[in-house]
Amino acid sequence: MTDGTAPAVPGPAPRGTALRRPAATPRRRALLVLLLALLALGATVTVRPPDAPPLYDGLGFPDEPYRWVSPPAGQTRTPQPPTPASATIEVSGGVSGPARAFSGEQGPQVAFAVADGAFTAPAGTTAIEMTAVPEAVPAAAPDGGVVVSNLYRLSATSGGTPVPLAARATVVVNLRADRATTQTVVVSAWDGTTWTQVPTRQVGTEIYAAQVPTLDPVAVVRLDQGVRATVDAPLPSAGASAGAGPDGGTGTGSSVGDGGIGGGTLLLTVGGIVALLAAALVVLRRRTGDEPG
Amino acid sequence: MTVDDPGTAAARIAAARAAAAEATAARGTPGAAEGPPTTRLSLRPAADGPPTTRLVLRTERAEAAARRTARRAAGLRTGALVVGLGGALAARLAVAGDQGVRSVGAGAVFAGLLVALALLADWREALSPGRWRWQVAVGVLGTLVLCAVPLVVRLGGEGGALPLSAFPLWALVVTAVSVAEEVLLRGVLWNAAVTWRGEWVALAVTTVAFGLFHVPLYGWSVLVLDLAVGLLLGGLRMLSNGWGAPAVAHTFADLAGWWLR
Repeated sequence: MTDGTAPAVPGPAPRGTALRRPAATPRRRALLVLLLALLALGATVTVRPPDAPPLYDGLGFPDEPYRWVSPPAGQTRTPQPPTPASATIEVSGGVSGPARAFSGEQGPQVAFAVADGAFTAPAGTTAIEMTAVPEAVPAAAPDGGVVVSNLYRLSATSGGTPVPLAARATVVVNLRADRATTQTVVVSAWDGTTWTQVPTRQVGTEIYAAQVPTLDPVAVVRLDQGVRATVDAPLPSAGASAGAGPDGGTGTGSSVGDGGIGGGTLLLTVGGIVALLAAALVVLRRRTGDEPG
Repeated sequence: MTVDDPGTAAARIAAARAAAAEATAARGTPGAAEGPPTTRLSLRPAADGPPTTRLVLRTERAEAAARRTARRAAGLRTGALVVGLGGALAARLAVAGDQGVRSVGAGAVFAGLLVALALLADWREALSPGRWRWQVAVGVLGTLVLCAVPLVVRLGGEGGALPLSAFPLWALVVTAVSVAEEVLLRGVLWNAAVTWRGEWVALAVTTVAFGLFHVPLYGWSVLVLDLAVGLLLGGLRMLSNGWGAPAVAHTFADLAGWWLR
């Protein structure tokens, strides 16, 4: 007050104003931050995948329609063809390194992963090219089921020469089916004449993982109603997953429950934390005189 | 005379003010006498001065103590909000299960938890996005910046074709999640951090939080991009002085991802 009739000492600030609302932001500082952000965003151009969205946030994108090499009856051909997955595996001291790769669809229709020493590399080899290439499904249908993906031909080469898998080594393959189903689904290998079921685990809504001991072509087979798989599903700890891609929509990630705490327990724990937090915030707000109204 | 004797104190302060005003006028600095009382009275020297000085010093001490208390509370609130953000994220992951970041239900739960947390922490700020015209203008500018690179990439190559029938529900939940994130991060958490340690700390806390809390959903490879985006959204908050602008930019950039990827 400035009329001279009352103490000219500044009193306590009106509740919930002076300490709550920061002073107006100097525009120059904001522009400096925006300039830095622009430089940072420019720098990310070199590290972001070519198909990256503006930011990774919100919800992952739903899968695009399945891309068939040769669509089966009743399915439509998509404008874009299916893409291969490929990786360059480094070889050091005759031992091949780990690698994984995803195809380019949203989400990827094939992904694979190999561990250290998965290949018997010839002397002098420094790198192995591994690919999973989509092909049309063979005419021969599997017993008691229908193929619901492209056939993916796996190959590993060095300088054009095929490189075999090491003894007891496997390749982890994740394949996406054309759609989700409640029927039994198995990954099956095609040797040119017959289909052989491989122990399969579901790791996403319509994503199936298998550890294959050969580089035979593989595809997803949906068994008819009532038909059971001839192979047992692997244990969840078997590691039959190629891991998640950055787009969040791949479904190729490991399934929940792979280790540790169960979903229900986790929910209860989180709920408790949130409730405690809410109570703490209410107490804090009252102590600082920041009540509503 | 003590601080319990306000009437006398007032008279002395008024006299001191008049004297200060006269001295100022004599120095030829018009208008200075109209400044805040504290500024004028600070011309007086030490704690062993006249009673008026003691009165002012006691009040200033009380104000400083109040500021310290408020800062401590804001620090606690900042920490609690960050922990709450982590809890909401864990809940989203648990609800999503195998569907991961694509789960619409988990996204809705996440948005709800963030909004509840923001309202509990600071309901006034949570409901005050700022002057809407200015917020929208700054937000649209931010959207253009965020979408520039993917737009150029998309125009020069092929992208996937997502079914439009899935867009409305997806867009609804994406909007809810992005607005909820901004209410909490660039709204309530920003304000708490500003009160606690100032604007630069608020920028750092919200940027790092924004980058890190997407890692469990999308993997480490997105950290660099989301940190840069977080910095930009913080800059929009500073420029617009409200959470509305970052919310507009964040939401439109998320929605644009349907085509720009």
